[in-house]
Amino acid sequence: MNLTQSIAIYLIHQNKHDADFLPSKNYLKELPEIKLFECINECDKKTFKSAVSNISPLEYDKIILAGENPGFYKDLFLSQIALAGKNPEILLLNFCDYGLNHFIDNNRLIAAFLGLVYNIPFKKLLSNGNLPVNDQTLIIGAGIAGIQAALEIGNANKKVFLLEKNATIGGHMAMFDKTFPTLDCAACILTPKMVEVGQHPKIDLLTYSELLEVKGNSGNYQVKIKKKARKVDLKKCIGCGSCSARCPSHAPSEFDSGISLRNAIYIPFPQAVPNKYVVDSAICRYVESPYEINAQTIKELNKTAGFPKEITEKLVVLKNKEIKSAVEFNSVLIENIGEQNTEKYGELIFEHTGACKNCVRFCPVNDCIDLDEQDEEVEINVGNIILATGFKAFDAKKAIQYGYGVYPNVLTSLELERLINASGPTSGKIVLAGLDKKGNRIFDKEGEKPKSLAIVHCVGSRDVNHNKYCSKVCCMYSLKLAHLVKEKLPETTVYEYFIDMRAYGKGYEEFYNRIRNEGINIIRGKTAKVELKDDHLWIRGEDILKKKLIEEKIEMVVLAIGLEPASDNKALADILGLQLSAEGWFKENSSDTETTLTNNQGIKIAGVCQGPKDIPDSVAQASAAAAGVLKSILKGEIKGEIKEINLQHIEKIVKEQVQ
Amino acid sequence: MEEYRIGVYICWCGTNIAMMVDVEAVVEEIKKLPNVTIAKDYKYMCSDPGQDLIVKDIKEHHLNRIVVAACSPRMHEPTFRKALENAGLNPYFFEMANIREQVSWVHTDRIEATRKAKGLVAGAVKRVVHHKALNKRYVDIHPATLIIGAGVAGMSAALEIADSGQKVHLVEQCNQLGGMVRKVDLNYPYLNSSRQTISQLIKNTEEHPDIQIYTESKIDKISGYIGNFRALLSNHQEQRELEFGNILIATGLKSFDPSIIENYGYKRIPNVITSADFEKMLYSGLIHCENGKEPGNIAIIHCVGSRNENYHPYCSRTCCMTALKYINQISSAAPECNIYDIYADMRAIGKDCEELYASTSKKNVMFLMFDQQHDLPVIKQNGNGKTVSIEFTELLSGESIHIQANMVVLMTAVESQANNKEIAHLAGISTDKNGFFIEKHPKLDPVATTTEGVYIAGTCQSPKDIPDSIVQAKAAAARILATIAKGKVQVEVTTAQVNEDICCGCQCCASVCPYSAISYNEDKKVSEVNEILCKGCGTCASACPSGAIVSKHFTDNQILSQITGVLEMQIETA
Amino acid sequence: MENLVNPKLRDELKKFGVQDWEGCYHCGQCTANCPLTEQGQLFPRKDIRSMQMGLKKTLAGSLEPWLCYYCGDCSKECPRNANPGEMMMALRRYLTSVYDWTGISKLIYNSKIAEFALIFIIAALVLILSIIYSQVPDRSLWITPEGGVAINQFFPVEYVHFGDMVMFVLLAGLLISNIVNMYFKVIVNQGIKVHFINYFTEFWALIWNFISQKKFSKCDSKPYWYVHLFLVTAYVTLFVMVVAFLTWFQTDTIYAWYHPQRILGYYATLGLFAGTLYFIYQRSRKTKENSKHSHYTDWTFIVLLFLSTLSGILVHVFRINGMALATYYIYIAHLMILTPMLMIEVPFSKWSHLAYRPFAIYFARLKKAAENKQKEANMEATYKLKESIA
Repeated sequence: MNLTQSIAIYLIHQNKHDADFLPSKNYLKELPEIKLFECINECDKKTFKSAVSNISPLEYDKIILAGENPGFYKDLFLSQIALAGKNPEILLLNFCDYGLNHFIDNNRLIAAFLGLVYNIPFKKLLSNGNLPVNDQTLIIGAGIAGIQAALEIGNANKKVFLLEKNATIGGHMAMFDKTFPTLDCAACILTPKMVEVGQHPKIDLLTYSELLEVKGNSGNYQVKIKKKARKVDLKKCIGCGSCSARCPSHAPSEFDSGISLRNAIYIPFPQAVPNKYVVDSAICRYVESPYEINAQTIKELNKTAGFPKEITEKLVVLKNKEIKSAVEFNSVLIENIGEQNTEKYGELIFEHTGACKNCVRFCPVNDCIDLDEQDEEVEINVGNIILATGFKAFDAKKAIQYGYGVYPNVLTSLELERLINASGPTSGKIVLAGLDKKGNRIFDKEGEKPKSLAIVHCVGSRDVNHNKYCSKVCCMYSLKLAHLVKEKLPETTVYEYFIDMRAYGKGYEEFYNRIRNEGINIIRGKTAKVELKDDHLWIRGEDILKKKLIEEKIEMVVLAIGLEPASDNKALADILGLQLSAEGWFKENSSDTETTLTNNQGIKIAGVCQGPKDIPDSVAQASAAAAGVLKSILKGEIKGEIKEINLQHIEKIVKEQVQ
Repeated sequence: MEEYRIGVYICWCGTNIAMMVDVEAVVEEIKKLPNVTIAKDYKYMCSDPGQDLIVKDIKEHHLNRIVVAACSPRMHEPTFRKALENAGLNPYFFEMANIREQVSWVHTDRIEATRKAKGLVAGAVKRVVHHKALNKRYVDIHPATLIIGAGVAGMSAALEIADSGQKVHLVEQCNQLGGMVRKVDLNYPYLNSSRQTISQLIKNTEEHPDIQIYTESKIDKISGYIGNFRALLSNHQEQRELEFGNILIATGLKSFDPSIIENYGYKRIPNVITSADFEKMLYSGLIHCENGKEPGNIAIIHCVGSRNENYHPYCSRTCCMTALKYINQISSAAPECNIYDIYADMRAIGKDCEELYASTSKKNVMFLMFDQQHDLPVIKQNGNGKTVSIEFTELLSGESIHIQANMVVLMTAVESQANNKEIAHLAGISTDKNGFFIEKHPKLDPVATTTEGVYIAGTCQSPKDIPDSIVQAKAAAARILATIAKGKVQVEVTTAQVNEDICCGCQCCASVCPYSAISYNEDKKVSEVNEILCKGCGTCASACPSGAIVSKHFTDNQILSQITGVLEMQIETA
Repeated sequence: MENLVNPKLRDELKKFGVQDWEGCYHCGQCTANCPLTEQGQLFPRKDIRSMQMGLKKTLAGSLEPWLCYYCGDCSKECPRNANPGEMMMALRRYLTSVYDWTGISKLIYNSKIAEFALIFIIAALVLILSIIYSQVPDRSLWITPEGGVAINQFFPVEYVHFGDMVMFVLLAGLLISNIVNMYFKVIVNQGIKVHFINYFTEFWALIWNFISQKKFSKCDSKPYWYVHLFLVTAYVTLFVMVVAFLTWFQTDTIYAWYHPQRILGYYATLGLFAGTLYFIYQRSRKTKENSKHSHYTDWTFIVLLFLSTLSGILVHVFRINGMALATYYIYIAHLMILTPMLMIEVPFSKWSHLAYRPFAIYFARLKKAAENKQKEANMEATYKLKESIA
């Protein structure tokens, strides 16, 4: 070890006070190596300038620049030093990479400096010895990233719990029609993986479940999980659909991105895993109000064609009477309106009362549906946790200038994705939206085809009014959608309005070139607004390269919405003790080398929950996260994390290392 | 003789197949064929319910042969074989007819396409009765791993594997570890020090007891198969043999040489330099022209050799952000310097990259857009010899402009290593038209290759930045760790088999085998097949003059009956 | 046409107002959001580009900044907060300095100190002149026999009118020379060939737009247009009365309230007072796009105008109440505010848009006419070519 080295430290902070760093300064000044410790406020240009010009590089072997963004000043120092003719090493200490960005923790800062001064990895300084590892793993989120990670670990013969808050696994990828740039059908490549996960002996699916609590340390976590009441027995359900066929309640289908309706008891989509029904308690008439005839029921029955008035009158007696079970309700009905009428109108009454239990009545399997089932808590012990919670699509209603939610034929890209998809509501026919009697938007298979369609890029992305970041995938999926539309409707004029075409991955640029030759009008210039003028949608924008104002009559407008952090990220971060970035993505340990690790050794992150990315990158990240898990399991130990930094402990390690 | 009970399933594949093939008509036609017990159609056969349908029918109708007409067997043959297994049937009692890639995607006439589909399915039905039960075989995995290339990807993977206590052989052709990243000072978007990152990585790799490093070495030969590879390794002094179970290729890439681009005059005009040259300057701390003076005007040109059919059609992915990084570094070192950034599309795709783009635009920089495809700027040397002028049409303003600069930085493309083809041949994988290695599946399997036990990571697969390379390296490590953890892996069973009674010992087969799987048994005077090396390609079977070699699952009998089936149906439906 | 980009112009332009336009990444939303932009006359993105690239000549020939009425629609949804609306405003300031051959405009816009110094120098000159002059007339006549105010005895209207006319000629000279300069920059230097007759056929547009500010009403914020129109008419009325008809306006006789002199005076005063108050209120609240960012010259202009109005009102109030000395002092103060305001704002600063904007509209029409002519000529040529081939 070179004992004679002399080091200068410049701490460049943004609008904090020099005094905040006084403990670090006092501590480090005591070290024989540290010759200079200077705090500079980034915004104070004057002191900055004089500090840099007064630097005497010949005195130092090492210069450490610390701060929020020290890299941006490195070249400033470097050019000063290079002029003087000597070339001391300049080291950077980025607060962000040392978990120092949120608040000033002087002990942590001192440790970071010590690491750089004595050339000891920061992780080594912080490690608290090794802990034994439980070889079970919990994966949160069963989109493509979660599935991939689960398979990776499961295939190594290690137990995996795959937690998913929805009733099926598959995530967003299951909703897509085809994937860029190879135009592989998304379902064709994803469903086998879903099936594999579903059948894997080492993978336990915990669908329709939520994370409640995590206790313990890396290598050994006690996890509490809430299994939401599915109300359908997974083992008994045969997926016949008799229940759903008679269900009177509807809600927009999440899987179809809201462009079709599903019932209260439903299978999310035909290829769901597990392919079993689930009851949406929020809209189930029974769950809402068990066995009760109310004023609304009677009103609805009266409106129903062919329903005899006299029976309604008899039903009034039953108003607001609480009845516990279907059998009881049936007998009450017989008692009041007679057996014959019950047989004839029973179903109708069931449908219209809050006392609906049609699914139970028509289910061919005994005790399969239990509408009284309650949420359940389970506890598991795992050694590692992988977080792969994905994203939430940008709410296009926020970009009011495009009139999404106002004009029926302004769609989001996800909606078009479902419309194009063969398993979508129109069996893959691209049609214009109409309105039903209630004013809801409907897509009819026999509907009219759009003669012109425009895709607007960067909706909600690269925009200070919404999200500053680039969502990375929109350019490519827009090109893909344009291609698919053109393929299905060759007569349709397709426009794409973009700012920068970000075709960055393997084969993407080639794909872009291909689409350009398919007769699609790809125009540089973002659409500014969509307006309704004389019953037609008009878009207005600027064609930047042709220097023209675009005022085009368009029948269907598709908004390429960006990706946003999932709404429950904050709650999850609190449960798991993780940090979030300013936008709400999960914060990785190091932006370069450890994008799948977090400040908590046992918790890994994968996929879009770390930041927007496409499918191959998500898959790679999932595998990489799995590598971290497998590494610790194979070794049988994991590094413990210190939450409170003890300087004496660190000094001890430093002493050992220096000697 | 056994009674054949065949179940036939026709997949719609959403509309992929159903759009061009009348699936129901195919079902009706196939039902009439002999031995067909049931024929059904379903929207997505590969889905869970689709597979369940097969399993249920096998049990209910005692089916003993299954035909599925759907997509290419490449993706889903394993899926359906598994379904058969789940139903207790030997997975090889299965045949797949490809009516998507071979029918619906390539035809435009629905009637003809339907007819062709009928033929293909009939062929499969005819064939499947000749299928024989084959049993799975496993091989043990050697726990060591060979990693070729010790750049940031290779080292990350090595550390990941070695940290779990497994042996790694790390081979590097240069005399130093670190690869391309060693030449980079700062990294975007946070301007963190790559130098620190890479030196830490090198230190960890070199100090790791389980990583054996071979610098200035190259692989001469690889033999063996997943779990049991051997390689010959040589450097100037010696040659040695290594044994290992998996191979990871992380050979990285190299910079494009822009001197072939006439317009830019690289190497002809002074002060026109590449990004690599500029990086060197930044590394040393002095940005200077050839006369030693600090440049007052620097122009940066993007997409040099990228996104242009004449050079490389692909996007090099990192240059846009590297240019933004340069702008920040120049503004830091020389705040008075004017920077012209000549770009095509600003591809700020990574986390926080768009934010860097936004903050960079406030620096002393002028962003100018050009057409990288058809209108490359022309760089000319001015009379004074100190400056160059760059002329082109700026797209955002529509003006044709010329700018004066003291220095031009060309953001050169990256391209595949020259010896990729060689390595691909050694490892039994393939390269694409740009020379990058081809992954098993571009979407869902970016690190595996079609050869089992051989993985690729980092920029040898396609251009990418440091975090993405490291992620891929770790992903490949996960795959390798999983096989090591399991200890054994299933191998191909559709291999070649020699009928020793007929074999005349001519050794024609051994000379054509691409996998060196056939050897001659001197004692018995016959050829023998090493079933683990054999990939079942069938070359030997067709070369054998006496018909002594049979490819399991591809017997003459099976193929001929398939052809008959197809032709009969074509005649019948004509 | 080859254009030399100028990276240094950026720094120069930054002095004329906010600099957020550096962040623009050219999505084109601002142009499409603008209610005034037309095919062939796109702004503001095009101007941002010229600013970013430092295309001096293009900028000098650009009419668009004057065609913009700053409704702020462009800035509202800008994805990079590049603030194109304020950028157009800054560009107007810059162009004012470009048209101005004396260089005073640039001085005012680039240095607060210079602007205030100029104001004080002119105000001091007025004061000194007043002090010197106040020694000349017979002080006994300052108060009328009835004890009322005799402003024409204190400051005989002929003298003031003479001063007025001198100032008017000076201002007109400066403005006209600047407009000629503008004409050369936007028409002649850009190589536009205007057909002679069009100078007359398009002239009505100049007048009509000057009076009505009609284009402005296309912007969404109607109240803003009303206030602006009210202010403009008020100002013009007062300007004409004070400068051309001062002898009629400044009398010692106090007419009845319905006398046209008083009615017109009240209208103008009200317009100016309400208008300036409205703008001061808006600018200090900073809620609307067009009042969020104020250059210091915006403030000096609006404050000077307000103070001129206020002092004018005071003169009137004191006068009709017969408070002689108060009237005279405040009258001097009024002149001390009014003169620098007119001298600085009309030819060199914000007020100049009164002349530049209608002329810009006029020039834009000339340009369009020339382009149409060119197009026709081209068509004819092709037609003839076709015919000859046939």
